[in-house]
Amino acid sequence: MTESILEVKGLKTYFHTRAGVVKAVDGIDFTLGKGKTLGIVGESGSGKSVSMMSILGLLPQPPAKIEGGTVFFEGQDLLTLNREQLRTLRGRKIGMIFQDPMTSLNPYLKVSTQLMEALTEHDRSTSKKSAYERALWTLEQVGIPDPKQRIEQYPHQFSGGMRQRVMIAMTLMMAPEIIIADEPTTALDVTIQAQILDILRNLQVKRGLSMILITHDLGVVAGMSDDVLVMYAGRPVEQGTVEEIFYRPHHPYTSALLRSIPSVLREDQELYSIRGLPPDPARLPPGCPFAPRCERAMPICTQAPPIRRLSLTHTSVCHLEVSPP
Amino acid sequence: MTTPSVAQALSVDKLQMYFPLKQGWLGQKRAWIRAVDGVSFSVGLGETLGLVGESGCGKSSLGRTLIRLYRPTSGSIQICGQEIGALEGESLRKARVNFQMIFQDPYASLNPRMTVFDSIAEPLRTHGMAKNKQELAQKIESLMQKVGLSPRFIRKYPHEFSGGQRQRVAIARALAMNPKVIICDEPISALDVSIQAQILNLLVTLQKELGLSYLFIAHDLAAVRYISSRIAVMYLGRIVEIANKTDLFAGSRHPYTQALLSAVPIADPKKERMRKRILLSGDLPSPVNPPSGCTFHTRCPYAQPRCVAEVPVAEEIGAGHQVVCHFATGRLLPRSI
Repeated sequence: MTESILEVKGLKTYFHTRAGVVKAVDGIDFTLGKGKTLGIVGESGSGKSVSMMSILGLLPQPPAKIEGGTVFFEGQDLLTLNREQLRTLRGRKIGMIFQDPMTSLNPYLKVSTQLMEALTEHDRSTSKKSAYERALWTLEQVGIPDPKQRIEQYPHQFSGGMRQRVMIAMTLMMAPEIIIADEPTTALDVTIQAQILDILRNLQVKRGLSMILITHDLGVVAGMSDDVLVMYAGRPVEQGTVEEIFYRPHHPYTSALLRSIPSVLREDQELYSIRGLPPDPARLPPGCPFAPRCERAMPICTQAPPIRRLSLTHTSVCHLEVSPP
Repeated sequence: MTTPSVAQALSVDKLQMYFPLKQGWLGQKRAWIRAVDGVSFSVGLGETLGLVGESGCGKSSLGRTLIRLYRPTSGSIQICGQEIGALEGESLRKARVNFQMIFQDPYASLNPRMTVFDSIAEPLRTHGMAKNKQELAQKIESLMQKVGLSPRFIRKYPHEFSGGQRQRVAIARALAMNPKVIICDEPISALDVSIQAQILNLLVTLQKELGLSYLFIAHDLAAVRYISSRIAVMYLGRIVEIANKTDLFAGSRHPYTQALLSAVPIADPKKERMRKRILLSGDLPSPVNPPSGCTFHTRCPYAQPRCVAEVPVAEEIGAGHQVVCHFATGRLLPRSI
């Protein structure tokens, strides 16, 4: 097995609202292997983003409260760090890329200022000149044509795909070890998405980056990830290598999800659809949260499902027995 | 690209939709955004034509022009044989019963202060389609059932619904007039994966039941492949390739279509990793100053000097398969411009 770089155990993040306690993340465990990509899949409200924000201490507390768990990175539990320590860590060791680069870039500042700031904020000893040179080089690395001219422009002068490249460049200014990409290509067109994913893949190989890729697009996960975590209603439902999840899914939610997406490879006559709606996170059903929509639900599903181990790497949280291979 | 005939639900000929763009001091000098630049196609009765392209290619402008939210710059739009391109006022309002639109974001397309009842009742009242209150209520309930909404939701407001349910309300509203043609503009892209399949299947069921014709505008090629019988690919205001879906997916001839198809991620790890991608360089050029000749030449991996100089015309390379490329039947050579 590969060495792990990030280990999350029993992470729970609840929101205390007037309408009740929303268990946005309710006990997730995962391990990110060094130099590997972990894909986290789930629908909106499944807790993918909240779990990443919790790890990085980016959630306003209150209303959010981290109720339990540990997040180990380089021998320390991130959940015990103070604000300042987390801030340092976020810039230097862990970089983030968000879905919408327009809201994460400052429209008033030139790209050069923003890129240089990413470096000088964390490393005051850097001279302006070397920061500028590094910014230029980084823009080149992410495939921005004419970096010398582009670096003097403002974010609105960039297209969506180019802006996302600037965001990637910004996270690379400090040479991070982990990149957390939250729906990095969702706002982009497919041909631009292909370019961005290509850049991320190349960077990973070149620099040995470890990556957490949050997405709802199963095609992107299939192409990018080594391991996959499937989430539903704040809980992990299934986890395994990309092959295990796509070719041998055990959890009915995973297989239903895979069956309900049309493919460009086939001419489907009929498309399977999961009945019903995702549950209200403030009023989760008892036991397995997927049970009300599950075709294979049994009376026992109103009780908390056990973790079934299918292989060293493959687990599924479901009452269904594991059939012998 | 096709000649209008009687059996078509929708036929569009050389449609242009230019938007003015003011430039210079006091806006004297005018430029035009060529959002739709000479588009021709038709949709048969009970048929679905998929329209794909990237953002900014003009597919939504085309959809909006077709339901006459805009007045086209030139060209013709016929719906069930009636020319609607130049209609105005009362005659346009009357013609609207035949064509409706479903938008991407049902949050924005439904009035937040109107209940489901009011939202669906509005078009029925406007066009005097119900004689009395009882008939109105009946019609609304039957529409709700058709789209899979329980009539007990009739007094609810849009915010009380999930995205998928809201899209069902929008579909019920569009169906209220018994339209022949429905323009669906990215109807599933704002929805969750598990809900997308529900809405796609609902659209298919309704089509079979009511004989509807759809123009299904989307960027999701997989969804388009599932729902359409024919597919048109749009680039910078023009249709570059149109074919039935089997031909388009198995034997596309336009380099842009090929690049688009190769870029779609596939939910199969082994196949996805083995694929050869045609990576396009750069971004979509501006529709204000489109490139000369073939507008795709700036990004095409096979562009030749001829592509810069000469505008390509549609070439029929198979039954109903048209490609707008100088090399539609010739050999594609590596880019040399």
